[in-house]
Amino acid sequence: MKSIFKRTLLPVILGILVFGFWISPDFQEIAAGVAIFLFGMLMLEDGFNQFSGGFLEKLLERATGSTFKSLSFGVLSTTIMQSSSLVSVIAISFLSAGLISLAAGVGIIFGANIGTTTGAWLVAGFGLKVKISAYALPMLAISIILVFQKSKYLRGIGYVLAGLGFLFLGIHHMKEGFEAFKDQFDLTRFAMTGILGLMVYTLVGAAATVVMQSSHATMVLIITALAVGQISYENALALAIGANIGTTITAIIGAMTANFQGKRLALAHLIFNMVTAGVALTLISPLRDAVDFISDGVGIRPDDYALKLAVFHTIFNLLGVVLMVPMMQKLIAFLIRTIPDATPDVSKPHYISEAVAGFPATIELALRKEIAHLQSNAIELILHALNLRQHELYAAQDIEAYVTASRKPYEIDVEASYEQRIKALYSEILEFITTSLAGDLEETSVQSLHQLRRSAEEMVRAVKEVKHLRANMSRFTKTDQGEITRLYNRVRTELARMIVEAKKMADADPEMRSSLWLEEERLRAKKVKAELGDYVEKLMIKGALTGPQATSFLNDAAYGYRAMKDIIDATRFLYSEQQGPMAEIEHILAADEDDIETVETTS
Amino acid sequence: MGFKDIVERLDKYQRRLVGGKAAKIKSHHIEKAIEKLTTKEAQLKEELRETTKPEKRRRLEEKISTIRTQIEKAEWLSKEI
Repeated sequence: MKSIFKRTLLPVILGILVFGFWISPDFQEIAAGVAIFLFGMLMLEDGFNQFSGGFLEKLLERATGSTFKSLSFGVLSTTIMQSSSLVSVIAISFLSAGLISLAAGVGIIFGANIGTTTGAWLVAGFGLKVKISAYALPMLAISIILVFQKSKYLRGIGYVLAGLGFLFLGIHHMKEGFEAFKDQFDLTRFAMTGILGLMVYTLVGAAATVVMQSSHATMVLIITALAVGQISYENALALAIGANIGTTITAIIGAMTANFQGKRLALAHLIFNMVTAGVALTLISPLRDAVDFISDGVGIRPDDYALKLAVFHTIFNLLGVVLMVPMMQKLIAFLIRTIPDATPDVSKPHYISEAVAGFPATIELALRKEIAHLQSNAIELILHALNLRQHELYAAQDIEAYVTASRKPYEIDVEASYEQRIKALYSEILEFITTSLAGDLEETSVQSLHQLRRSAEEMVRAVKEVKHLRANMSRFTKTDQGEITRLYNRVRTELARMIVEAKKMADADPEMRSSLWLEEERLRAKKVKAELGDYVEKLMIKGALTGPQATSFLNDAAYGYRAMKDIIDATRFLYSEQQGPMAEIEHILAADEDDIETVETTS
Repeated sequence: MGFKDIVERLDKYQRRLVGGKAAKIKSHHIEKAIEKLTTKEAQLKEELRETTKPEKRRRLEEKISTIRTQIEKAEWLSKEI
């Protein structure tokens, strides 16, 4: 049923357009005006996306402090970008990446609904009263020069300017089209009064917004049609209410690929707009009176229906916010109840998704969290493969004593666990990194992604190394078999120590931790290898170790050594500074691989 | 890693800085790096005070020594920058 609807929707829309063009050439101008307007919005979005990775993300991060802050951010950003849909999609993306809280996201969505009303004011107060097409052409001419510049920010300004130019041009063509159209057709013949009119036109407004994917475009269409008297004021009010319902579709589409938090926010958006629309429809008469009262008060002419519609649009969205803000905590509790936390399936990504892939800041943040998740899975598996238990190790005062006492083999199919908990997640991480690198990222972000990929690679490799030594290690440590048991326990102990250091890094205050804290562990991994080699030689001379035992152990010790190095490197790459002056300092002060080789040969 | 290596790395950094390929290090950045290292040093010293096992004490002392060297290098870097 759904697929039949999807398949027929496009031909139906194209059919209506062609039929309209055939009936009236002026309809062509209106449709072209809408198309140019929507194209302008796309360019505006592209323009603002050029600034993503800096300004926008920093603002969003700060908009989490309080309801008032997030609400103000929603109003301001939507006013600047003239697209509540873009702000909603960004909020969903940031929430999915864990950059902002659900409460902040809801506040931003509420604010975006107020911010979007500025569009109606701009069109009704400026667009219809000033010949804005006179501004559009010079704006377009200047914008194209900026679009071809090398600087990302100049290109961004160029796209924004071009976007605004196309918006103005679109409004101009819609206005011209409606003015000519009214000489041929009188659409007011289709005007409906009463409850039926309210319902029908609300549905038409919602449907038009779903098709155009922009309530802003619907509002401009309504205002221009209203200004030339092609629709009645009463029906225009219902259309505006419908546009508010239809606009939620963009957020719902955006949330389809988001995690449970993104879905919660899309539901909040739907609830807010539905409640607001319900209240507006119920209180339509008092709201009309309020519009007349306010319009009289601010000097709007009684017959300036375009401006009166802007007043109405603002009042009913403000009313929605006033009604919903006191219920915000209840709304959040409802969202959490209705869309529960994602089942803690550790083999699936928790943070990376298509929804976070659109913005550099969310890409990096979500990826870092996902790799920390991979590391947590890997460490748990490594410890189980070493017949150790995570919580017991972290609580142990004496790691060596704990490892020596842990003789009982842990019942686990390491290969199956690797496939399920490491490989599946690692593949998703690699796919996400590849897709992100194919996008338009700054050089510093590309470097960060490469470093994070190395962190994931090293951690996966550590698991593989430990898989190799598990069989012999279990065999020689389940009972005390003399020197060979002590040797294997030494490798287990050193690995356990590295894991404890990795845990300390993960738990440290992000503002205070430094990858330089792990320098001693980097050097130590090599020292352990050299010390064990010497010790095995002495044991063989003494006859305490047989040749086959020594060979097996040295092979396994090499796996153990590589696993230690991989764990430490994975942790360093995950938590080291990746950009800017602090990263430069860490790079200058850190020992490089050659220095570590020197430790081995001199120890 | 000796001071010879750090001098080489600093040279490389300065060449990249001139070429516009590196971020400029200011004294407050180095102060922050030193603060991170001294925080860790203090934690390790605290752990050392509470440790009686000789082998663990030896490992902690080695770790403190490595961190101390890092701090000295950072202080040297601060003068050079």
